Amino acid sequence: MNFINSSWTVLFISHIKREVLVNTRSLIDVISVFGFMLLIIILFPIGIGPTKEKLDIVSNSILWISLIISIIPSLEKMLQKDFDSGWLDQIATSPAPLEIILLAKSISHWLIVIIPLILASPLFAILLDLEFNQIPWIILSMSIGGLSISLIGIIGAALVLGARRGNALLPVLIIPLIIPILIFGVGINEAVKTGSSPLAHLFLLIAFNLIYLVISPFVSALLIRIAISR
Amino acid sequence: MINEFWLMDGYNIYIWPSYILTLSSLVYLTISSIYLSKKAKNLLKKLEELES
Amino acid sequence: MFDWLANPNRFNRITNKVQPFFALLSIVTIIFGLYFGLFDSPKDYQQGDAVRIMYVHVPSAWLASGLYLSLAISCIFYLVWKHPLADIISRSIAPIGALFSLLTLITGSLWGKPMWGTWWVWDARLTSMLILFFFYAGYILLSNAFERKIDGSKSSAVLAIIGIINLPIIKFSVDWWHTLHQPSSILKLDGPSINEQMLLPLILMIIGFSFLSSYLIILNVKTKLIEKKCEALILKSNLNEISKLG
Repeated sequence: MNFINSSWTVLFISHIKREVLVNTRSLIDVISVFGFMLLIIILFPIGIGPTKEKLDIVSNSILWISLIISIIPSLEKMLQKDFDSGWLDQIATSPAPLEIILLAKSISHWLIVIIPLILASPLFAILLDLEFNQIPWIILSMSIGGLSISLIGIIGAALVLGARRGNALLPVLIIPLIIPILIFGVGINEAVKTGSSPLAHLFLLIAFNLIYLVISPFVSALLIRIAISR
Repeated sequence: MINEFWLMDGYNIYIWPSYILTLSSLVYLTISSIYLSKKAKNLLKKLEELES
Repeated sequence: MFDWLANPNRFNRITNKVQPFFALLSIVTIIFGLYFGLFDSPKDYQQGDAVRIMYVHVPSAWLASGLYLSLAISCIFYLVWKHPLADIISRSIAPIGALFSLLTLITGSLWGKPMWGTWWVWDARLTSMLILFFFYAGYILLSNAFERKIDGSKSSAVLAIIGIINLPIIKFSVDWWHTLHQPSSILKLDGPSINEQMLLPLILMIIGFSFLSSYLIILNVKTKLIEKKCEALILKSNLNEISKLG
């Protein structure tokens, strides 16, 4: 009971509410990310050709890669506005726990950007001609992997805070970190498709989540303090 | 016999470019580092003369 | 102890003594390595003369990885003890390491074409080396992406440390990914069991490249220290002129 009422939890939840309200105000933002992902998923089969055999081999990867590519533009926005408006300055120099707030930011990014894309995955699965029994696994793997991507993304946003052309630099910095998520995420879906056990890949994805849940707030907080002290 | 060496069993178009690329890029790096170092030293000397 | 080491004058005195040795040793070992590699070592029974590319490919790979480790260690020193010299050393290591990783990729590609038939192969180690190149590129880009150079030092130091911690994880994932997709031919890219005659030129080239890198790093650090002094002098003279006006 004490923990539920503790100030950290209250801060955490209220910050998530704030982020969700602020960022979903313009419906266009939400829809444009969805539209971008849809566009990429449409382009791949057009480029590859409609032969079912060829598409079968790559459809899971197309889904994951389009998810990653559509998320990247939204990562820069995670910290930029708050940094520019000076809000991050105030929080960092106050006794408030910056790490909790950054954790809340990552999770709200996951809720706002990634969950809607994942909920739309049945539509994408139809376009890519994936079996229906794979869809629950797709939703599961992309939810878990997506959380890691948000956590890695906030580290990337903190790295380029204050840099010139930070937007162009951000993808280069975090893609190497996202590669294992991609490998194991697609691994889950491919394992389900071929009938073998996806559990190994699933546990690895969960392990990445746990690691980044701990590391990401602390590393981003460190980087933000570095950025503020300039 | 010398031809045998240059031809390297037909792999010559792969082996020689590798060696040439590696060695020339390392040589270039060395020479440009030495050049920049000399430039900086000259600048420092001129500035110190100006000061005194 | 690091204060002692980081004093620029002491740094210059020590490195002045070792620099010519490094230069000489690197030239000698590389020349001997080339001789043994190109002339005096046997052809491989499977790969023929193409195995000779190994004598530049493998040392480049070692140097690329080793220099990244040194980069990360130097960045840790910078973040923890805040020595400006550590930052200068990191910035000097990065371009050399990046060059070696690029050379590894290109020579690996040139080795792969006759062996595996294609220019690029998604071999686990080449893929990891490609990612390592991205780590180097990321460090170099981030450290130079700020208005004042010093602003980029701490963030890129954190980036390098993130990189070194992630490197084993990424290597593990890429290895897994590679075995998962069972390539058709499993030719190892460093030749079968290395016999002694092949070992000699290999070790000579590794030693030669290492000494060359050390020499270049020391040279570049000294250049940057001199440039710092020049900037300080220019700043001082500007201030003098401004104070004369006022």
